Amino acid sequence: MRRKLMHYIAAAIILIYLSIPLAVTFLYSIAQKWQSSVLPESYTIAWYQAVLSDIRFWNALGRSFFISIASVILCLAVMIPTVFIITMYLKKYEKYIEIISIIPFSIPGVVYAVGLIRIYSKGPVNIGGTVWILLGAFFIVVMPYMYQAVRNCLMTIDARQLMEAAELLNATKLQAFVHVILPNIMKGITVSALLAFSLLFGEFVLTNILVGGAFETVQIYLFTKQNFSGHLCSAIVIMYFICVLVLSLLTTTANKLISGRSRGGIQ
Amino acid sequence: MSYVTVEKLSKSFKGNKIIDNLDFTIEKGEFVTLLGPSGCGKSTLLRCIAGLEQIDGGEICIDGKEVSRLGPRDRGIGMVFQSYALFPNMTVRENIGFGLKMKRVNERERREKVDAMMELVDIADKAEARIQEISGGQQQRVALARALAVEPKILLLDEPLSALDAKIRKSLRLQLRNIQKQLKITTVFVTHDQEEALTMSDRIFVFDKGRISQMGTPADIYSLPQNEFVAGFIGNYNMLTSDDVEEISGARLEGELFAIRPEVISVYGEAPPEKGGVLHLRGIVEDTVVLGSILRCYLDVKNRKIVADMLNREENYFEKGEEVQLLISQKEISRIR
Repeated sequence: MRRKLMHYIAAAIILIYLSIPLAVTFLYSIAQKWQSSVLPESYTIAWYQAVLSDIRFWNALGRSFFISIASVILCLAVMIPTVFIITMYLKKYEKYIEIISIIPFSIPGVVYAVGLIRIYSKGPVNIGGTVWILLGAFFIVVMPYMYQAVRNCLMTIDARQLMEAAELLNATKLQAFVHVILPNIMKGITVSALLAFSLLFGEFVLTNILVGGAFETVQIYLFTKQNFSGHLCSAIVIMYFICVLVLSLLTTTANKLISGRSRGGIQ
Repeated sequence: MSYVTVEKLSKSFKGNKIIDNLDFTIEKGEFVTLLGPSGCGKSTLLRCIAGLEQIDGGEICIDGKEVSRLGPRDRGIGMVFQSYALFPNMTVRENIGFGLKMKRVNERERREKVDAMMELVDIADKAEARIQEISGGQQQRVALARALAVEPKILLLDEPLSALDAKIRKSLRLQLRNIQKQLKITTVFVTHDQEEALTMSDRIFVFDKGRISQMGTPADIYSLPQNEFVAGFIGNYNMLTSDDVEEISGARLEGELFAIRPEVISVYGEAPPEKGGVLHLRGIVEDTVVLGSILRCYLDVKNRKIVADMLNREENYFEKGEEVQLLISQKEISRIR
């Protein structure tokens, strides 16, 4: 009993620690006057009205969603077949992809961004300052996570044996991949895709240097509002948080529905 | 012409010869067991037949057709893996029907076939269950039904029973053999369990280091081992050299090395009946172990360890340290060399 209490206390401390910044931000975003008291003296929803009625905010939100989702999907579309083929059939090249997947971690964001600008603002692929360079940059940011996720999922389901079983049952390699491998790794990959999405959704350094105001995402929008009003910024942060939360909930529910569909069929 | 013919088959991994110049044939409808210790190449041979491993040399013919250059899907082979390799994203029904779906068999026909298969392996009540929701024994039966549904020419079983507990293993063993007889399907079964091999097979190939050490019916393999490896791997033979035999019994037998099965040794507390053609020994009981219906008696005969099996009866219980007399019929002694 005493031990259980300790568990609750520990969990509570962590929860409080994690939620205090968020709670204070929320309070600040609905505070009208908050100077010399513990809690705000008066409340208002004016800051939210200001954010929600600003068309720039909605556009920025749309861009953030678009670029993050597009990058994650692009990365999945490239990495799933690549990692599958390398881990299953070209084992000797695995070390190269491992090295490649470490590089993004070892290069600081600023160096990376400046390098990309230098390469892509002239020459045959002149995409500097456009959304396309951001798509490419984001691809590289999430690539290591996707590599690990796909690889782990393939190992967990013993993809090699499943492929062999499917092929012995008259499936071609492509059919085996589509009907057997893909459905079984999708659940694990969704979780990683969601993490990658959150990572990109909150990305600032690369976006600011590579495209800046030319493609205003939520983070850039927040940055421009920084000197305007702290309350407004807090409201933007809370809205941003709610967006990520809703998306996470949607994805996990969708995941449960997918795996629950065949589960419901027993009765 | 035999149904399956393997000629001069070789396979190496990184310079290690796993299968060495192998020749054998299997008749249609036969149940053949590849028996051997782990790492002897028996599973690799199975994978070579299935087309999951490329062979380095030799030929594999199935039903008169050379298949060794074909991919696994073109060989007409059904296989049950040790870990079953069932598809976790599908129900029992979908798993069994997968091969037919890939063969573009129409929905109605597929349904009938899958129903028949589920009936055959007695899993019909779990048709809509997912793989994670059924027990190991049931998974094993689904894997079997899935392999059989496409009506393969040969069924390959790679230690399909080793992941199950003893009781289920025994009942599935019978069920598997019955299904095989019912469908008259040519079957190659891999195991390291000699009891499994002896009870199920028409013929057994005993494997040692990538070669077939001996092939024959279960009765032959058990009672007439042709070499030391088989004698050592099957049963609990007492291995004695001709010098050993001379020293403990006084008789000189023709040959160098002999295998004596524990159950052909009769143990007597008092003077045994006079008989011709027997070896007569005296020994001391070191220990007796009850193996269910069998009593296994460990004896010391002039500093050589001899094991004798007797039926578990009152008169066969001997005290530790008791002096006993042993009779071994000479006909039952297998000469190895």
